[in-house]
Amino acid sequence: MSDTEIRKSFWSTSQRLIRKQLALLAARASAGALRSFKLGQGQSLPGKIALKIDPEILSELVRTIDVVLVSGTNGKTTTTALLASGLERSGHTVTNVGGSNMTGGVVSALIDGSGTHSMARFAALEVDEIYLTPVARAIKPKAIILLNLSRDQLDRTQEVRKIAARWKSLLSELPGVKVVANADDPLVVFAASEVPDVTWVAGGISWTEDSSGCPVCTGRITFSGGSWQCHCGFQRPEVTWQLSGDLVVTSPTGNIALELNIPGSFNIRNSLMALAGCACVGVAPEISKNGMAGVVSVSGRFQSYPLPWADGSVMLTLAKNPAGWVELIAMVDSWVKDRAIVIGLNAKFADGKDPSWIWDVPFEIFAGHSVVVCGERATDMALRLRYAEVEALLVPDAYSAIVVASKRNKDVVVLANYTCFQRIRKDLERSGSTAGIARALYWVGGFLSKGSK
Amino acid sequence: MSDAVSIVTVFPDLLGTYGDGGNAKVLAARLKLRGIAATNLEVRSSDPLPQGADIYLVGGGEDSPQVEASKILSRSRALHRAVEAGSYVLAVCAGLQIFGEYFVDSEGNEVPGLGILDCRSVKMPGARAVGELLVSAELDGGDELLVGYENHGSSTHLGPDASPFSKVVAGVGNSRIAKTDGVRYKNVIATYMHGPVLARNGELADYMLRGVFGDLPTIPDRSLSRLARQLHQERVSAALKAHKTNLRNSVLSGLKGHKR
Repeated sequence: MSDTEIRKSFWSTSQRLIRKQLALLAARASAGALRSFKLGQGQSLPGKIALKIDPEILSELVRTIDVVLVSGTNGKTTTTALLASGLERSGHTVTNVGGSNMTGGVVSALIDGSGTHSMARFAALEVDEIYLTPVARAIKPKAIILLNLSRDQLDRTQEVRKIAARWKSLLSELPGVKVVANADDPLVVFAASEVPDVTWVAGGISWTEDSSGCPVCTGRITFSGGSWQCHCGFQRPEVTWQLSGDLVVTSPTGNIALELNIPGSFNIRNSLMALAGCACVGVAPEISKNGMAGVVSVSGRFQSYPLPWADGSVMLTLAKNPAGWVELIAMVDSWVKDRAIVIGLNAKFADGKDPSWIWDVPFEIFAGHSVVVCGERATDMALRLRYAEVEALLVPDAYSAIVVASKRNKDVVVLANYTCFQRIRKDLERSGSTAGIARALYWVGGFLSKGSK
Repeated sequence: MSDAVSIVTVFPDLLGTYGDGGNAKVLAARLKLRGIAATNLEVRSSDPLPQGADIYLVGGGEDSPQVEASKILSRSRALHRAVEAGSYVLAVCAGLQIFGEYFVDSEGNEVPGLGILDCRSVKMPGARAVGELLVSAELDGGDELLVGYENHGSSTHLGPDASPFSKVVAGVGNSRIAKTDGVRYKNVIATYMHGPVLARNGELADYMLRGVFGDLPTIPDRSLSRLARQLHQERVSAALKAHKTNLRNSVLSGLKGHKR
């Protein structure tokens, strides 16, 4: 190398280093500022700033971290939380659970884990199913967990089949990536079908209406006895991870007894996916399962809050598309007798602007019962329920709806879609200051709900 | 045919993506509330369509299932016979496109439709049509405002033998140029309106039911009727508001272009 070349390469290396440090500095400063001024939790903006200064920061950040991505329509957040707790048993793990799951949020989480005093060994990151391609391209993760695909926010995503096709072409350009894929979902199997290193897991499927058209030949897929196939030969692959009892997991290395502290059979399936994901980066299920037992609620999902205005509790549940609702319906059915039910429906960008999917949910199961309905699209939901012969009391303001419901029964369950859920959670977490207003509403609410009957 | 009004939902496994299954629920409920019996039959694509039903509902779907549905229906000709026999048909979005001469698949290839309606659907120039769709349709001699949610990437062009179902007030409908939505032919109503359209527009549901049953008593459950009207009004206002925003944006971008 000549002198000038050495000088040039020295200069470009230092430029890169300076740019990286500047990006990290700016991101950390903005995250700190956002937090101290209570402008949100600093989830997505710091990452965006860092990306602006150094577009290559993602690949820099993950050089020493084993990254596992989690994507799919339902269960991303919970699976990522289980995965992170499992990995944490073996080394410091950063995660974006509860934060943004698009590019900015992912970068923010990684910056958190790149400090010298908090050097992370693993990253468990949930990624929006549409953003998986750009994020995975930039990060080159060690492993990707693919949960499921079904209709969600069709105004934005249009066709789930197209997402499956995009995943498939993404995976073909990531040599060496380990994929943990749900063998029960034909669209996921289609996406992972050509990956050399794939772990098939019996991840379960509760909603088959979006996958009954074969993604390979456009024929029809028939589901029976826990398996599925098409006449073209496309069929459920052999799994190596599955449930062999209520909470017993059969893995390639033997049986493991699970201990879970979040409700719902779908969460057992999610933990199965997370266990297989941990194994991909060398954390054995016997170790990771102990971490998973410590997960009790995930970003407000299944979290119980005491009522600030009276004795009793309110539990939050996220229900944002037909598949999610179908998974929850058995649980709701057992609640409907001894709890007051509040259903919340918004249609902001993050929810999808077209809530017509509520007609795909078999609300007829609750016929004869009475629920309180809230959210900006409460009228849509109320009419849907009335046509299903469910009594629906319309209280558009979410907080007031909970107050009214608590007058019917001291224990309340809220099922709401994304922005409605977040709004209620925020209200409940700072409800100390609004407790006075709530107490007043509580009495007015009692009057209202009597008046309506 | 028995006394009960028979409603058939065609291939919900292929054409059930956008909540259009709700249309059958609404029709049956509006009959039941009036004390009229109704049978609701969902026929999956692996089973043959029954003949002689009063109402057939064909919903929206994704590209490749739409192609598959069109193939099966072209072969069986069950809907051709139903239309000739005077059955009522509500065809929404992909359903509308299937009823035409041809439509395009995701690769842009022309796929033959059922040829019942004199219309052709092709890839729409510009952005996909996604949003509230407000139209004015003539029902029983009077103009009625109807509102739905459209989400399609094709435009539909009508031939001389087809008449549009409605005039577009706000939104896209058949195409950005034609300013009409859907097709009406015999007792077939084809439209781009999801929502589901009959949940948002009780008037359209009753119009179809009157066609089948004759005069209908009013629904005794006044709170349900009130709620249905409230939803209709809410969506009409939302469609007009979105229309205003779109107009303002297009005027603003027009001005910007002019300055340059």
